[in-house]
Amino acid sequence: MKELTNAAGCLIILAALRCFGVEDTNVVALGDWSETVANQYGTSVRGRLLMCEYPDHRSTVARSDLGVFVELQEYSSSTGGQVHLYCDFTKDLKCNITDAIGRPPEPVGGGWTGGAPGPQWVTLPAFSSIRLRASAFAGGRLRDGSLGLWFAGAGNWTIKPSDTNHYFLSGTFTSVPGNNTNNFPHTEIWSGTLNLPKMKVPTNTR
Amino acid sequence: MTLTTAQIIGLDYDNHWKGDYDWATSFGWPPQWTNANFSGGSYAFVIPANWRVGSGPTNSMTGWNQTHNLSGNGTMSVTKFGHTVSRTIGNSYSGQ
Repeated sequence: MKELTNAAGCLIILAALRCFGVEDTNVVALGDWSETVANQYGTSVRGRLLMCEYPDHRSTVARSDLGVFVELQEYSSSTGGQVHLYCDFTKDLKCNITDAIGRPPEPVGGGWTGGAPGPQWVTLPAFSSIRLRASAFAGGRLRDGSLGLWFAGAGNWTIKPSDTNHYFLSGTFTSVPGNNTNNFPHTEIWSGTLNLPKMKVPTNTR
Repeated sequence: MTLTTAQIIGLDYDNHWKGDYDWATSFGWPPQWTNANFSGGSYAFVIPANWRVGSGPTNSMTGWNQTHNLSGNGTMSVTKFGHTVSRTIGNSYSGQ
């Protein structure tokens, strides 16, 4: 009986810890990891697509932000190293959205203005990953119930709330090293192409 | 049609917007230009602006417009701050 009580106590404590530990970012869609791609020195990276929703603390009005992210992970077969890669999603990320039989959403005319992720070097220590914003800072859940998946260079799609198809987002990311102004060791610079597996766009976001 | 959301944008020491601003995009329009009766059309985002320092009071300032023009031959032009970029139906870009 005492053991049972202790077990119950542990569960309560764990539940409480979980409540306090819950982050305010909600992963609403998660794709599979890509194949691991190595540079000629064995430094390896893999990636995947995901969609996250979280309170937009930068907004002047209360709203949630829903964006597409690319998660990159250091995944070398040996330990100890770090990897540097240049991420320019305005040029080197290409996305595609289709339903189960390969049809894109019906085109919806529109536009957006504002910011988007810019090109930059990213460093991944060993065993680490980073979640990079891929979509523009506009879009996401729109006032009329549409879902705006808008990118600066990777494509733009708006899915109407009346569109009940299930859609899948996939992508290709190619890292082309920019100017190595940081003097990173060339053995730690990764370049290559990751084919990001398709991710089901959740219908409960619309 | 105005589909962006009011967000606080940081300024650099020389008063430039931080980050990769400012994108101006128009997309997804069906090919009206294939209709012989289509002679063009346009719409504009009227973008209001405020400013503040830190968590201080919010002050108003003059905003700006972003104009999207679809010409009769299908060329889309976006104009903002006196700059215009155009894209033809063959994905040829011009302007800056």
